Amino acid sequence: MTSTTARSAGVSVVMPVRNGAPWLRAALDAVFASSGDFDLDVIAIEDGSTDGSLEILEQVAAARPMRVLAGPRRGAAAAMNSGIRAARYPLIAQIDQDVVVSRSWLGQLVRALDDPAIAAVQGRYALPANAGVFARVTGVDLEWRYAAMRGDDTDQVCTGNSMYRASALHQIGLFDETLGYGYDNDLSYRLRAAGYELRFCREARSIHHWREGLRGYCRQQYGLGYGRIDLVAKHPRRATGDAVSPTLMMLHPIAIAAGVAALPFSPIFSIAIVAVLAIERAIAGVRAARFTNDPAGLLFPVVHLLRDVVWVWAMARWMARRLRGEAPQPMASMAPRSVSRHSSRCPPLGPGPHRVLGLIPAHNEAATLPRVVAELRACCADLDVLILDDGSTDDTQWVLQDLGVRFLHFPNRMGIGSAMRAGLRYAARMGYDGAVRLDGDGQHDAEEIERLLAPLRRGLADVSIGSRYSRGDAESGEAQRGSRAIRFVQRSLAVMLSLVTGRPVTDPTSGFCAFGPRAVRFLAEHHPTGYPEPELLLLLSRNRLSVVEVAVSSRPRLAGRTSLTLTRLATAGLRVLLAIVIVPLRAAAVGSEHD
Amino acid sequence: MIDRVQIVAIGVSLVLLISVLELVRRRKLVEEYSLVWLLVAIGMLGLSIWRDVLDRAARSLGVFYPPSLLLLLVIVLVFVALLFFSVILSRQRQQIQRLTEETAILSAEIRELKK
Repeated sequence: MTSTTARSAGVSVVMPVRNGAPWLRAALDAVFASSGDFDLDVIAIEDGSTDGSLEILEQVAAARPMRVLAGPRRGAAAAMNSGIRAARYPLIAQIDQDVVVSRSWLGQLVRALDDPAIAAVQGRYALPANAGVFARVTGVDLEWRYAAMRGDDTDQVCTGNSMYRASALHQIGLFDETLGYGYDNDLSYRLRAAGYELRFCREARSIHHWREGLRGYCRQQYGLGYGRIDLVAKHPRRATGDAVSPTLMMLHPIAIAAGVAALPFSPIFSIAIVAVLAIERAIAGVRAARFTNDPAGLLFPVVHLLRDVVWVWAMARWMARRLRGEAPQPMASMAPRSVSRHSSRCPPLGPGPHRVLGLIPAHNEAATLPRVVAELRACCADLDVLILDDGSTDDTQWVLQDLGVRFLHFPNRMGIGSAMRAGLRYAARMGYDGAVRLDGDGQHDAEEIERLLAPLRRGLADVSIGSRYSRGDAESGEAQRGSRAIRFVQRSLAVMLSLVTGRPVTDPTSGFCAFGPRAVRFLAEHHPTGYPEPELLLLLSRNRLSVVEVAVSSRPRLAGRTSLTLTRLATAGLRVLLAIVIVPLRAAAVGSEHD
Repeated sequence: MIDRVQIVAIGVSLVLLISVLELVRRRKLVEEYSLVWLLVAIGMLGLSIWRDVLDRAARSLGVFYPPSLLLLLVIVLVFVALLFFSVILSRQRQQIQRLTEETAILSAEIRELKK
């Protein structure tokens, strides 16, 4: 079969579905968007969903060229086999229900299969923007393992975002339906044994929604570990792994098992094993974090040792079953799972004037406020302004009345956090969509407000934070004036917050930020008080509101002293340390507010 | 065998108990916060009536000198009470903050209505 016939004939797409309602529509839309000039023959195999997936499939099938094969629960391998048997075209793309392929995905994989010696090709997985910590670790790990593969030749094609040559599949007898996990590895090994080549196509990107949370991760790893042993039992020579799962990774659980076995005899030996494994993972983690620019890699030592323990548990269960002579019981790879509540789309900020309220917290800023207000009126006429006069003891109150701006006057000094909470509540009650915070001392450039609002207007984030350091110019702003001790504390604060929020934070004490509709409503009740900026970042991350950083310039304050003294910062560091422990343990503050 | 120390101890405990109840009666102490004091007073009264309870508890805990167990108990109680008050203080601080925020918003709204 030549490439031209493949191209003119089109591509069959096989998608096994079980309880995939949250992603199904996005996944199918992406498949159709990726079709280009090809005729698509999409076959969704419904495998006993209980969450309304079948209804979604039927709705999509009514509008698009798609067939739905519904059946009882048989497992992913069997579902895919029935899809492959029903496929019309010589090329079969296999896409999972939680994978969103990019626009050029289909074309790139078809091109990779031009050579008839190649039987299967796999695209590259990327992370969704709103992935949780465990999903990020999984994604970064995979990215790093892909990066370690030289060239495009591989001996392992994972299912989920791959394309197969139908004739090759039929020649070797399709997927092994007795396997619950690892059926894709098994198929790959058999294709290689039959003399075919396999390819990895880095350019064909797709976004995979990995399992979220500790339980989801453990469950998935348990299944993978269990499947891996099934696989090794079937292909003993593959005990050393393959291109995607290197030998080192296979050694890990064995070493952990040895450590557990040795515990009663020599605890030192067990500790040494764990230490060696942790160091190995830490090195890999740092390199992966650098490579992918995602600090989640730094969690490798913890998360991967957890993975090893789960694998050992899976191995033990497998052995126990074998010893009792029970039939091998495949683990279902499509078991129902919990979904993160966060919907990836943030409601965007409406266009048009007077939808955004500028909030300026001020304490004894009578000297600078007139200039700040004048500048705002000059460059942002659309922006309504509300000054938060936090218990000033100077002329601020009378200055405000003379200026004719709206303001909230607090009889006592409540702190910026409390003032912001009141300001945001005012904004929410008055029907504003968004809010911007800038300081009353004139250190934030009003010209940059639109830059801050831009990601919110496009619905990319709930909160955008102006960072004075993200440009990396150490000469600007506070860096120049702050002492080295201050910079050190601030940097450690940034590192801690990056680790906890799983997102790079470069300016943890920035007071220049903008809030979208969801954030305004949420923070009107929950804006942290005390030392609010770092705690705000923690709160937002805990409640899955998305944050972006925007590079801004910093000007010297017009008058007054900085509130960033070393003692304040150090106290803040301690408070954040406490919050880092406490906030994740707290229940998310929101119930249904932003669903 | 009632001795003078015991009579004084019972007297002091009774005075404490009665003054707490009196404060509650005059509404100088809200029931909620009086509870911890009532428990303290009742505990003291109990210990001064049944003195051998303290002796026996000290012996079973391996405390050589029974009155030091009493001191330990008092310190623990004071700690619990302080913690309890910190909780109340934090809650009141939050309430004051909310109230101040609301008054600020309300007075701003009134200012705008006057215009």
